[in-house]
Amino acid sequence: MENISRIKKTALTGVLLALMLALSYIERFIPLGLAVPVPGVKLGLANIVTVGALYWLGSLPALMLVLARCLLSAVFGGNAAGALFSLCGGVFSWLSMSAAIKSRFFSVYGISILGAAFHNMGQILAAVLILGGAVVYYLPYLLLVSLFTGTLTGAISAGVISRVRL
Amino acid sequence: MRAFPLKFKKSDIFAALFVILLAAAVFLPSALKKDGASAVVMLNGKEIGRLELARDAEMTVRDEYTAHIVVRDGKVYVESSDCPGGDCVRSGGISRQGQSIVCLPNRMTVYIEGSDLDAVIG
Repeated sequence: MENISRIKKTALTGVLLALMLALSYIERFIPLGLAVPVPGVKLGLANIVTVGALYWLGSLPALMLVLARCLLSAVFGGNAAGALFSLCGGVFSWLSMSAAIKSRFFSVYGISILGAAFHNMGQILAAVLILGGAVVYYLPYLLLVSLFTGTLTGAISAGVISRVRL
Repeated sequence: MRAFPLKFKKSDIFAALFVILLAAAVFLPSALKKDGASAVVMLNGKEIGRLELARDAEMTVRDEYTAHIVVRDGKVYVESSDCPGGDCVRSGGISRQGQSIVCLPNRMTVYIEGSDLDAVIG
């Protein structure tokens, strides 16, 4: 998708940002915690949008989206610690996905899995800084869950990207 | 701006493997830690608490006297106590197998139980 006009890109960025915020809001109503007894486990639907942004807009715009989303989430949610978690998770996730894309080694599935895994690692890092080292106990379980959520969001991303004509 | 394949690739398996290995790598140290050194708190000859030295922790013993036991930076010490004499507080921090802090008035002992390593003589 190399020929998207500048105006379209700008508009698209705005739409994607709104979509990310909406998805992360809706996600709160899906009680993944019932199936997986780990605090902070979630589907990570916002990553779908990040993947889309990486595909259509490129690395840097995607980063801007992640940062904007963290900022706005913090403003809407009023949760300072949560904002730090989001930020760390989002940036780590973006880093890994950008690298995965540059390597030309993975498909959307590998990229999403890595994105989900690194998102969790970023969040655990933030949690260690705020709550102390014991939190690392949850990391292995979160990582295993990210295999599933990553595959799921990867599938959704693939479905959406292949169907949307810009 | 780069596009990436939207269909599953065999190399994606490596991503999954990487994550699994990572999970194992983080899991292992804490699974092995069960043999790590810990501080055992005894009151009247009975074990009433066990604190792992690897993790910062606190414990308050309330018997005839109240003692505040703290684990920090791999050492355990009695931070405060209202027992007469206060020997336990003045004992300072212990961290090695065989070392102990004793409070006679409170009939309380804190000693270090071994890790899987050999004993040190002397």
